[in-house]
Amino acid sequence: MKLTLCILLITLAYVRPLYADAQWQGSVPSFAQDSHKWELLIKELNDKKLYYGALAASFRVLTFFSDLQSKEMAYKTLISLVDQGYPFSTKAFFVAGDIDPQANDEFTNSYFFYKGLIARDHGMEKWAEHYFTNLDKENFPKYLFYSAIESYAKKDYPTAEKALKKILSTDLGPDQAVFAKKVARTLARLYFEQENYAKSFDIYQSFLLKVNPVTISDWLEAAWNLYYLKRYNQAIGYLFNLESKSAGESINLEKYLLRGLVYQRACDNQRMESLLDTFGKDFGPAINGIKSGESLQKLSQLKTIYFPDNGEYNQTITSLKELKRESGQLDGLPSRLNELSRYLYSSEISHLNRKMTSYSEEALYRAASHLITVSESLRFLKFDVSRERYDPDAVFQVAENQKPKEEKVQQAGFEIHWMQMGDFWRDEREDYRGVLRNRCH
Amino acid sequence: MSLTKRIRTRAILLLFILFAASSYADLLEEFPSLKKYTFREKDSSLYLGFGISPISLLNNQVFFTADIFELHYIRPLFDFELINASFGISLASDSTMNSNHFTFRTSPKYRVTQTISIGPMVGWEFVSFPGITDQLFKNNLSAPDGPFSSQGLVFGVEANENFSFGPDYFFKMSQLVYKQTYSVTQTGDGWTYLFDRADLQQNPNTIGPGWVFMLEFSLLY
Repeated sequence: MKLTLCILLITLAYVRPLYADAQWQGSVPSFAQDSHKWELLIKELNDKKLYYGALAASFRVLTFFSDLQSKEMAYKTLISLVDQGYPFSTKAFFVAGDIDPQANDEFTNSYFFYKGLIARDHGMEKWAEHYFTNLDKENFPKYLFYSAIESYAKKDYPTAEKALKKILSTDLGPDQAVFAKKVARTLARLYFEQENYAKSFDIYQSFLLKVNPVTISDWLEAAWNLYYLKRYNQAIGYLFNLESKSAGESINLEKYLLRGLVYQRACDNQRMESLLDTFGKDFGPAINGIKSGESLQKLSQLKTIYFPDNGEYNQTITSLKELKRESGQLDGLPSRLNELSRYLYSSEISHLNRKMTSYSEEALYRAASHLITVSESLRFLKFDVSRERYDPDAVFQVAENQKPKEEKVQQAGFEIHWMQMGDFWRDEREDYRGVLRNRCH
Repeated sequence: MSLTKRIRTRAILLLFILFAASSYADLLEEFPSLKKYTFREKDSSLYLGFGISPISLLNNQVFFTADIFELHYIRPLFDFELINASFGISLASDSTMNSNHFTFRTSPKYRVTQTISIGPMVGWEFVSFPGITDQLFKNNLSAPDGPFSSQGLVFGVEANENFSFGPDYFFKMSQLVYKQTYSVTQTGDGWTYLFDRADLQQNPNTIGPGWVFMLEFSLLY
């Protein structure tokens, strides 16, 4: 009897995990088991500029196939998509990377660089060093950038500046626009940290805001520089760009605070009131909902708030949106790839939907906290704006012409008169100004 | 304020301006390789220009030309000189044989290399000889005496070498060989020339059309 019981228990102990495994195992459909087909699909998706699909397909190849050729192709795609501007981290894709590229080219350097980063993230310093020794540390721009970021974090600004300038001095190649922007932006932030706002602003004005497509947050960062340079009209002008449709659906609440700070400097109570009204119109229902304890899932405005700590949630939302958009363009692919492409998009969308559900509660909670903090800060700022009128430093400062209706510029032997016809000024010089009058006097 | 003081103040001001300009240098000037990423308005490919031809030969005479107006359309594969308006003077050993030439020409050229382009050339020329007097006759009608003038087609071959300096400027060197076709016997609408000089009346080909060999330098912008 005891023996039978023992055998039964042992059998159960083995069978249960097996059953559990079977529950979690997925089966790859037969049409998705041909690595050559995946390779063709990735190429087609890249050619049709369906980049989010190409990224998902590369990840599938890494999961489904163990041959080195397929893996190398998938990693090459990932690295090229990052270089083209994929805005989120792809480090996770490199964790299981076990290829050993030998060529001394961009791909090999990038692969070992990401492997080294992951090893360092996980505290495996020796492995990180092993991967980094395979790199051309002196000349590989991504490694130089990484070392600049490290120096920046340690507040070793001269070393960081030197490394960043070294990267910008090299000819990075026409497909490296996104990387060049990252490097230039870091240099601008470095100057900002050192309170060299004029130099920092110059980088935004002369380069970052002239590369198509413009990264929307660059308007905000440029406006911060203008605020510290006391060029308040221009700061407001640059912030107005964030209200355009091209700024996208995601809202960075920092823009309200910066506008409030500018109005404080101009002692402009009226503008501050209207800013609070606008904020109330944009987020009033969400704030009331949070205060009355409504389910955060029902407050759709929370989903539009950009909050850097919600990285994975933002990544999932963006990927979902882009994959849904791309799935409407699959008819242009060759017919033999139809089944595979539809399988890729439908399974990836359903996977991301599940992922978003698991992330959303925490992410929405963080967004709600952020929204309440900004809302309260704006209310306090309103009092500061009223009080600014009694600040001796503001009251007795030299009055200046705050409302330029016309600007005269000497150019190529001509005197050009730039007229401001409305509240918002944008001319061929890409100069933006809002109307703001100093009411402190 | 004394002159020395004023000069010193201006020098300090100038130094300050220079220093201020250099300390806030444009990022693109410091790192020119970044320029390729910035948005640049599409090149119109149209260039205006002007030029001179210091050395040319016209029927064994020295010929000087000034290109008053040039309009070019330059693309990677072809270099189209849409219009070229020039004024030229030929100097002969006999000063009465000197002539003035207004020429309008056009030339579609194929760009053999980035620098060199070659193609046919065609145009219309107005010629006048201020030192030669003639009279025009047609049936029983005659025109008053005046300097001899005529007009006609010109055609030939043109080769260019374009050297770019700066993003918007070209220095153009051209070599032209073309044939003149103006008539010395009658006008296009049937009027006959009667020269006051008997030698020309007998042999008008002395001032007749010929071949022109021209070396030209132009600035396009």
